[in-house]
Amino acid sequence: MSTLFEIVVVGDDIENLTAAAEAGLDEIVRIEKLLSRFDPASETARINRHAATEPVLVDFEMRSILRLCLDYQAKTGGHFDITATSRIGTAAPKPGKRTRPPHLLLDDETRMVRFSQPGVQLNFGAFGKGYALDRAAKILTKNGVQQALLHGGTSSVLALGNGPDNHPWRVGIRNPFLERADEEISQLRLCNQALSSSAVVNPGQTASDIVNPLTGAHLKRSVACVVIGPTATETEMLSTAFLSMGKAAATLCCQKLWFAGMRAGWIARQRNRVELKWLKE
Amino acid sequence: MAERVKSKLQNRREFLTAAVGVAVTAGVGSLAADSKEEPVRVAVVGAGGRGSDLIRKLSTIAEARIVAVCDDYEPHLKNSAAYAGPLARLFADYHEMLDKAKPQAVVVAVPLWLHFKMCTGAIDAGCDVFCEKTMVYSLEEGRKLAARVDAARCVFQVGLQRRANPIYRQARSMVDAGMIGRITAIKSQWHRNNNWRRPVPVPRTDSQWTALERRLNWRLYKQSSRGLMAELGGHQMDVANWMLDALPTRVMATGGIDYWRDGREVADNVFCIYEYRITPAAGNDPTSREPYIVRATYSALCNNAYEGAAELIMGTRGTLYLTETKGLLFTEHGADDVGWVKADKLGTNASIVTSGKTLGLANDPWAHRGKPVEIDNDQGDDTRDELVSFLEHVRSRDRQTLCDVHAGMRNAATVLAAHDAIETGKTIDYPADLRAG
Repeated sequence: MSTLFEIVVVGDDIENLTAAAEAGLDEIVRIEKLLSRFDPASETARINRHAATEPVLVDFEMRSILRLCLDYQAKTGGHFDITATSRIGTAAPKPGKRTRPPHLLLDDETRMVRFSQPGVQLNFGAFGKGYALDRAAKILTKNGVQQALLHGGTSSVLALGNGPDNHPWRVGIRNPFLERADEEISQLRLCNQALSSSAVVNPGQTASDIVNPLTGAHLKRSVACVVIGPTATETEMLSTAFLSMGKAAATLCCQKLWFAGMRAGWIARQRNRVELKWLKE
Repeated sequence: MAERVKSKLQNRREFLTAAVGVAVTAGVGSLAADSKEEPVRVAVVGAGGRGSDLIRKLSTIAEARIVAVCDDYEPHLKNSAAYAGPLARLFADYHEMLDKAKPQAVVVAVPLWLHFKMCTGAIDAGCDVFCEKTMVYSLEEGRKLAARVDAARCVFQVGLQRRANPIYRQARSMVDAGMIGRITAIKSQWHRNNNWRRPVPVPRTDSQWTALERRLNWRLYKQSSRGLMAELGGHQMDVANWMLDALPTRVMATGGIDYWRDGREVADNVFCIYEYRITPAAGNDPTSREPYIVRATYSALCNNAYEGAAELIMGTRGTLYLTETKGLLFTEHGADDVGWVKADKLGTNASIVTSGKTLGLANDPWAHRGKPVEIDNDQGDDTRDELVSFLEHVRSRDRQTLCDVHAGMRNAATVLAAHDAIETGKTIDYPADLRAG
């Protein structure tokens, strides 16, 4: 993740709120240790090192994470894929099949993980921040915190309860096409909700990090997408997947009720203006 | 299809080779079950933060089967179920757990003051033991425990995971090879900027609050904790002892509660100076066989994180900067390292003067450092590795673990000497009997 996380907590007992927020941040560090592909001591690095040559026994949490990711891969028609950035040629789906079989093989019973071929690598870039926020929020709630705002790198936000004014937390959406962050294009109110945003190309970047898992091509069109939903894990996964599938498919995806309680918005340039438009529900 | 392939092939590797090309949708099956030996039946006592870490690591090791988790604090016990899996039985009572789950090995991750009780309980039940550092709360407990472990001939390991870390192992090899010359000083610290508190899940008005706060924040109270030296310093002074291959002779130390005045009883900042009297072994250093003293400083802070956690091993020819994730070797720009002056042609004096002049002019600390050689840990996670090593020792009945009960005792004595120095304001001698042993 290698990103800045912040936790704002509201309440009376400052000593305990501070300790709870520290515990929340510790949990985020733990998740980083689990999901980072750059830290050789992480679980993900261990899987990436060995799973192409031998089955790897993973812990219960990693099993649940991988199962969830595979479920979302199926639900999004392959557009959410933690193996999308693997260094392998992208085989076109077989005729008559919409998607290729997953590169990641998981046996739920034995908790064994294996890759279909050498070069496959797990990359939790479109998952980790959201999952870390949900886990940290759980720690806060367990320790009596009822109102908090957590964010990871400002692109994923989780609102616990209301803000300090006892109204839902106010979150601004900035113009994703500008390098400066002060142009707000919309303001949202969140209470016990998460919001994740993804942009194809971040300001200052020339090429996109996001790969369409079905074609292996880096995304090109200059758009951004926001997703609001009950958990940050889900909104995080979908905000990237929706960009990959495009507006029409994302609209369909939302409408099919696969993702209960989710709303998605599309940010694009309309003539000279940048607008956020909610997809039809 | 996978079943048919599997039944034909005895060998796991053969099956995998076949399966890659044949049945990508077949899943990986129960491929771990090819090991002839049964996994070690492990129980974990203490399911707080560290205990949960150990449970998660154990659950990824095929040689271990977590049969039980024990904790008398229900929220932690409940929480651990998600990590230990459905096959692990949960117990609030330790002796009931030992009795009913009949583990082969017990992993002890309870607060420090309970280590002795849990370890001896496990030994009496015929178990091997992995005990988190620091091994014991007092020297008296440590001596008793060592005797019990030796009498029972059980496999015993203390969780000083840097001993399993490839960076530290590499560093020790570099020291042995003379790459940093003679070690003349060590400087270690663990500096953080937080209150070292665990949150309490009930409001202050709750009648349970005081008891719960003491339980969860056991590290902050003298009855259950030996403070920063035991929780942080133990790891790093183990590194100092290891690199010097020696035990300290005495320690002076000071510390206090000077910032976090929140009712805690243990110091929020400590500073120690350890002395090591080193007698060079024959052939080790031909220039001198005279004994000398090496001083090692240690500090722990809870209100400034600038220096983080690291050990600096300073030698006449180089310096090792060590952390769990990265090590750096800096070579001293010493007289004999000036490559363009050939000592045999111009005489040694010429090179000494030359390098002395240049370095003498530079007060900038970076001028002496040069470009370091990096030591990376690309092999994995030292906590998992120390557990793998423990389980191997259990299986082979090898009592020479990464840190056996006597090594654990020497580490505890190193920690407790500093603790006593802080408490009494006096210089504390390291126990003579442990130096001899």
